[in-house]
Amino acid sequence: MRNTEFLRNVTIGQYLPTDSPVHRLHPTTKMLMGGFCVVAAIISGSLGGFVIMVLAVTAALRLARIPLLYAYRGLRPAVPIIVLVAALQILFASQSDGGAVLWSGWIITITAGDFLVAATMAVRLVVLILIISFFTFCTSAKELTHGTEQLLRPLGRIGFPAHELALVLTIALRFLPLLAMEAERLVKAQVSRGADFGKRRMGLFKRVYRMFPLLVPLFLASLRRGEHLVLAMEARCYTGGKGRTRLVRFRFGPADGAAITAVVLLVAAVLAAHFLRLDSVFLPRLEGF
Amino acid sequence: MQNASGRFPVRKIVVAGLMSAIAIFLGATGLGFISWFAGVSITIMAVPVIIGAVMEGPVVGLVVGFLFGVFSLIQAAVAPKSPLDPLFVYPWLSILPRLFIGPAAWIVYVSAKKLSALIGKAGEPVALVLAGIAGSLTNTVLVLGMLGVFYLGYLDWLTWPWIGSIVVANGLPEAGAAAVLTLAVVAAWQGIEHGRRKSRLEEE
Amino acid sequence: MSRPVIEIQDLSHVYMAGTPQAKTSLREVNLTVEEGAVLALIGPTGSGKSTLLQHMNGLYTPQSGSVIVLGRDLADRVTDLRRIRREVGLVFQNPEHQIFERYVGDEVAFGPRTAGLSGGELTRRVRWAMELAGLDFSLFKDRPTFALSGGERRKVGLAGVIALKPRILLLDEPTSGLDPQTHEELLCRMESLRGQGMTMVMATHDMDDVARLADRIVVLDGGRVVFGGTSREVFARREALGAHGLEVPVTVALMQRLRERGWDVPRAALSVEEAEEAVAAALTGSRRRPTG
Repeated sequence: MRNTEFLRNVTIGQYLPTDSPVHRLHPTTKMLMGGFCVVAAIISGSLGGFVIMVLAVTAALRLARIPLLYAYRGLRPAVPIIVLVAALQILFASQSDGGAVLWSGWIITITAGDFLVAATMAVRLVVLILIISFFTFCTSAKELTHGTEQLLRPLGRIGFPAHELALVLTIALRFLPLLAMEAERLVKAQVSRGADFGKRRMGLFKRVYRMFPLLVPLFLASLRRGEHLVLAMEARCYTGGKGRTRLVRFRFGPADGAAITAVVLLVAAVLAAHFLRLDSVFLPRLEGF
Repeated sequence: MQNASGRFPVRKIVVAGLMSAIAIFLGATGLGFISWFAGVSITIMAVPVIIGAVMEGPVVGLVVGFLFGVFSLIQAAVAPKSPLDPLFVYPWLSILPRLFIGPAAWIVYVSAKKLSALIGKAGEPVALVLAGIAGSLTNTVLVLGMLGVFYLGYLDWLTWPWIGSIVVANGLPEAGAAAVLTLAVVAAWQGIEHGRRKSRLEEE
Repeated sequence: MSRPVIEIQDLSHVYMAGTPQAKTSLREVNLTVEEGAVLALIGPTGSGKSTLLQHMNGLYTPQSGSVIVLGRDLADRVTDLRRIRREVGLVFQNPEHQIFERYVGDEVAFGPRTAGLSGGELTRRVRWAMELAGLDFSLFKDRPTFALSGGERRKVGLAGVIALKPRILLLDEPTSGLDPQTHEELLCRMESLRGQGMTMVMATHDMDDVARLADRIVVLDGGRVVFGGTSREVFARREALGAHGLEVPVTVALMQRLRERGWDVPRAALSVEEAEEAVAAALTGSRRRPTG
């Protein structure tokens, strides 16, 4: 195992603190924005709608002072699957309303409509990736937990364990770097004893067993830490979420209202494009990819 | 001393948090992918979910599964590990199936223990193994099932038998791996002996 | 003068290089370890002791500078790092956390088994390693690992590394967190290893351990070697050590306090017996012992 610096993988390194108006929005706002856009992208099947969304996200990236190249470079690993999905659609899918058949033979059927469908699928995937990436660029881990708790708080009034869920998330995120360091130590220690986490070929079960010197102690160390954490929390008289206040508070401001309004309008536009079939009649509806 | 908020004592919250962290960690670092051959790998990210469920109940399993799903969605967008990964930005692939891993493992675990209690044998190790298999298979079947449900009519050759063969070819070894890992961790934690009762060392 | 088994020149290391969290853990470190010697690395937390140890058994290849272990250059691509790690064993801090096997025998056997041993030979090696670490073979080999006490776990960790039959033994905080009895047992084990000619490098905060075991000391701070020398030389420099947040062994502190009050005792005593003799000599007014 060449690189044991797991901390690299685990620091939510996508977060770019550029202190833009977008970054300064309340975390719940950001989550809601991201959520609405993702839902809209999933429901909608209109290519025009997706193109609008790509433009909107790009504008938002500029507003958030995120370098466009950085954001779009994140799409690179997804290129193979996009190409694959598009190719499958173009070559194999059977669309009855696809328009003129361009080429047919063997198991391959290419219709004109296929290209548009493929393009729509591809753009939709791009849109989803961009929205989610954008969200991680503007939201730190701390904001994520605050945002979740605020978001779920209304549900808390009807008995949903909002506070507890947010606390689970907080613990998980706080624990990630510790896990990384523990794993790094373990790999080094076991390798010093002759463990081989490397590439040598061996049967599947041997490979699984080969990971045990890392995995088993990692779980056990975590459970042990858990016991300490439980003790610590109880020793500090933790009795649940009722009436808890926060040290750091986020406030909603006019910017949040403006942002939500903008997103709602965007979503409305996209959904309208879909349901009212505002696009040209050749663009088919998408249920699948 | 009165424990925290009745329904959700501190221990459940903490274990849920820790197991979620492990699941996220295994995904983010790629350590959860055990490569098999030619780019195919089996994953063990279901294991923290299973262990959470077995040790603290189905709700904890549900929460860990949910968080695992959400983070696999985020990861699919920002740092995909395999070429097929980006598809997981769709929540019905990443989140929905994972919600069931914990509860499924828990049900099997509890039933297995009850059954073995009836027969009179200590069933803990067997229950753990079965829970591991159940949890992992739930993950495999549901993820591939979702793929099927949504994209079935789409491509002529994407049929149930085809999906079924992936479940067997990939899912069974994955289930086996999950079973042994679950057994190893939980048995060590609870101080249970099983199997051999002695080391593998031969006579001198 | 015996030959050097570890030669480190101008070694520098940056942890997480290229990220915002990058940290320089070693700066131009120069160090030599001779065969059969016992070297202690001391320094405040974060001074780079562990990182330095991890360079000595090939866990890291030098980012800049050179590390030559047992005649082999670690920066050279052809060097078999796995073989280096077998010949240079590193016992990590709190080795009990590495335990993953169900039974003690299997846990200790892990290293040699991966190295290719099997059957009766493997069992003999495990027995040898366990006895060296202070664990009765027949008593412990089939003991479940979850049923061990803290001290026993520590010995299992030590045995697991010794089982590789290394020529050099590196130890990171070998006695941290131990109860006094196990601490003493472990020190005796290490003394006996030293007596058998094992070269050892230990990173530790425990100055009394250093006084007892080490011939030479290297002081690290902020990733740099600040000074070094024989144990006596280094411990005599109490203020210099204090400036880096380091204490001296109890016996040395005693000698220095007595000297401050005008008593005729040497600057450093490295063992209780030595201190005893020095005090006795001073009290009876006999000939002043040569300053050591």
